Amino acid sequence: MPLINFSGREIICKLVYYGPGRSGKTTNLQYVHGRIPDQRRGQMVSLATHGDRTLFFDFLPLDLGEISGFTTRFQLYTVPGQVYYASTRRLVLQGADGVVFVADSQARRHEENVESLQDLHDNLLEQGVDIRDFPIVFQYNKQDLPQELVLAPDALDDALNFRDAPSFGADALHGSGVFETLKAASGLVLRKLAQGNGAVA
Amino acid sequence: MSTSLNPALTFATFVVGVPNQLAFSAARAAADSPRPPFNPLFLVATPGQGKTHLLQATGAQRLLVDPAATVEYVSWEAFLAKLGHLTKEQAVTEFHRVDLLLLDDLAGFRHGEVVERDTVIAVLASRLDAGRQTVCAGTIPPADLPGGEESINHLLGGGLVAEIGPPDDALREEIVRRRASFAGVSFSSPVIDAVVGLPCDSVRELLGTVSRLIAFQEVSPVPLDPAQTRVLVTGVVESDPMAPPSQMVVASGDAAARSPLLTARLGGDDPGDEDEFGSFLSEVVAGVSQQVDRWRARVADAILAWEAEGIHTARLHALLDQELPAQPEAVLERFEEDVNLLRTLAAEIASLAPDLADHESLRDPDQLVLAERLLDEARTQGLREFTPNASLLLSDLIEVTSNHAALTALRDALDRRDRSLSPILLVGDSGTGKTHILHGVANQMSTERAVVCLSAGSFCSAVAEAEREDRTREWTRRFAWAGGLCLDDLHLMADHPVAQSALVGILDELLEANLPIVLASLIPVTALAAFSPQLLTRVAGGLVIDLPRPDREFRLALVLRLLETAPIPVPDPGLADYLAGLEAASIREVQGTVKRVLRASHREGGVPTVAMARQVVESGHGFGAHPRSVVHAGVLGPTVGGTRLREKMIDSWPDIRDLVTETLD
Repeated sequence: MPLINFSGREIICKLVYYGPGRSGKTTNLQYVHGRIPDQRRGQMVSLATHGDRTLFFDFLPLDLGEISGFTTRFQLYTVPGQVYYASTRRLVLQGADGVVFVADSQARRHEENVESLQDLHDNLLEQGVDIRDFPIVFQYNKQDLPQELVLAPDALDDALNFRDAPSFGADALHGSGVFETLKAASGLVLRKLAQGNGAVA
Repeated sequence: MSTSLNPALTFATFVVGVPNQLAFSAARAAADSPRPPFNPLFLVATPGQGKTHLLQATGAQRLLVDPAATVEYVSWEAFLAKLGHLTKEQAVTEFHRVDLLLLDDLAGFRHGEVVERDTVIAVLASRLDAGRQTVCAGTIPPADLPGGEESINHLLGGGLVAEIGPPDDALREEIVRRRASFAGVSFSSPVIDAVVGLPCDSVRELLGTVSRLIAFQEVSPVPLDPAQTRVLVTGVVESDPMAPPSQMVVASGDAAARSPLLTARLGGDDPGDEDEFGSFLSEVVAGVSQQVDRWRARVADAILAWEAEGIHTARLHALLDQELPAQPEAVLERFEEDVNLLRTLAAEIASLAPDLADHESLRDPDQLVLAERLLDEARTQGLREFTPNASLLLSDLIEVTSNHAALTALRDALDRRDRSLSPILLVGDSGTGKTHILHGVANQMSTERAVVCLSAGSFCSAVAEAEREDRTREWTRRFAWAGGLCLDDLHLMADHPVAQSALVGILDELLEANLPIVLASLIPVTALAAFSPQLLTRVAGGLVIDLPRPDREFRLALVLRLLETAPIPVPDPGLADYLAGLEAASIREVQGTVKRVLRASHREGGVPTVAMARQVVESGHGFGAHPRSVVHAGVLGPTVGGTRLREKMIDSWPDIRDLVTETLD
């Protein structure tokens, strides 16, 4: 998917929220959805189980109107975090222009963060993406939990963010860090515009 | 020695209860005895249950018991980092001297850890062998530590593993009471019960809660009640119409009160009611504009670069002026292609017609059509100097029995569209009509593209000059647009290898294009030993036509034509016959004699007669009067620069008036 379609005067950016199950990916999208003005708010598609676990994926289209002559659309997706939805994650990841990796800051979930990040790397590599040059932002969610239970952003950076990508502590439930993360991710993706590539094949 | 021990963290300040009794006792034993029955001691608990407190208390206690003891408290991360700077032997020595090693936050090995596991094993094994106490603390039991080898986990778990459970009600109550007492604050039992009743599995969190209550109590004129306590702790405002406004304010701020720590960790303010989406949209707009409009900067850079090279950039300016964004790369690439094409045209024009090389269109990629027309003009100019003499026509050739076969063969060869007999080589003595035929062919065969006609002497001179200026290729390139080639005096190219090489290239191009080529030589090419095999091969591959010397029939026809066209009265009927009967080696010789007779008759104001002609001839002015050795047309021998032809290098003229006449002719 081209990032910028000059002939069609259209910019479409696909951001995928990736991370382990229950790390707060859907919560991020729900918060964003809730903050969109009514006149701009589209429908958020969410396929979830009764337990609010993402079954397939969440999709939140953001039509940002015409910017510099281009109709600009952001498409936010989440992947199901559970290990057994690997094929769905690969599917959703296709054509992604950037990824927000939502990590669960709880210390006891650290291994799942690592596994999910490895899964992301594997899937990107499988799709021929050079992860060194791919827009990715880390969000360390649930920083609102007692300090004793969570790892600090610095510690999580050390453990997960070894390429020094932008990272943010967040409390997606209450919105802290949600838009900061989204801004950073969209900024990275937009900086790739001029290069005309970067999307997952 | 001790490292970073907090004096507040002692056994005296540690609140002991059922969940932490075992850990406390074990730590105390490890502190009091240099050789306890268990080594290492591994404290396991979720965060906030007091592991660090016990570790530090153990260190403090050991120093109380043995002030000379070496105690080192270090986090697992710092421990691994320190090992990373030491060799295995250095690490073993460094930590062997420590009497009590306190390792906090032991979390196993991360992926990519630089420290060799061997070093860790060596350090731990050395200490255990020497009976030096090691106390560790972590959230994961040693057997489950990630990333380590079985031997390490076995070492760490080989002593006593003491778990600290979450605080029960009794422990929580005691902690609340002790903390409040330490701060000099007194809470009522219902308040303490309310705190104890809150879901809280972490001692640290409980201490934080109590600290907030203490802080509130210190500034509040009235004692806390249980409801206020729950609001302060949970941030949830209960429906209590009796609650004073001031308390509601505190309560509503409790989300923030809960979040000073959170705010610090998140590095910013809470979202609140700000227009987060608007802020996001603004950043996206700025980002898109910056990226999309980057093309303008790209185009502007290109304009500057091209204009520095003198290229007109109106096309790029037009692109820059448009409102809609554009994808500039394709435009810039096309522009560069056009500039390159323009430069190619300009180089060729400069080689063909230097006076056209400064034309403005050659610096404007939008004027390519004009530049191409300029090139056509330059090509025309480049070939103009080789334009054939328009007065020499094939139709004017005198055809008699002796040259009928030669001229028929020539016409037939020229008529063949496949040029299968090309190149045509005319071989004949000087004055047998070769030059006339060449110009006649060039005039007849020229269409939109002119058939050029030049002598090999001129060709060699021009090539030599171009070679000196290192533009031989550019000079010869002009022939690519010729409609054909008529080259006279081919034999003059002997000893001119560069010119021969250039001619080979030209012949190949013309042959490839099926264009007419007629060459003329005084002597057969096979007799030219100084010619390159490449040129000989090409020349010999075509039709060779021998042109005979003018015989009496030819001379008679020529004399009659000359007399007919002369502005004189009807001459003596026997004059033509007399003149034709004179021996002549060339057509030019016949022409010269006839002209002199006509001039003589003109001077005397009469009609030319046989007697007058005889007088002219016998006076040495006629071709019949010259000794053969003088009029012989042939090769005298090679000299520097070519072959000298006696007829074309008249050595002596009997009368200066003849010289003038000949020159004017």
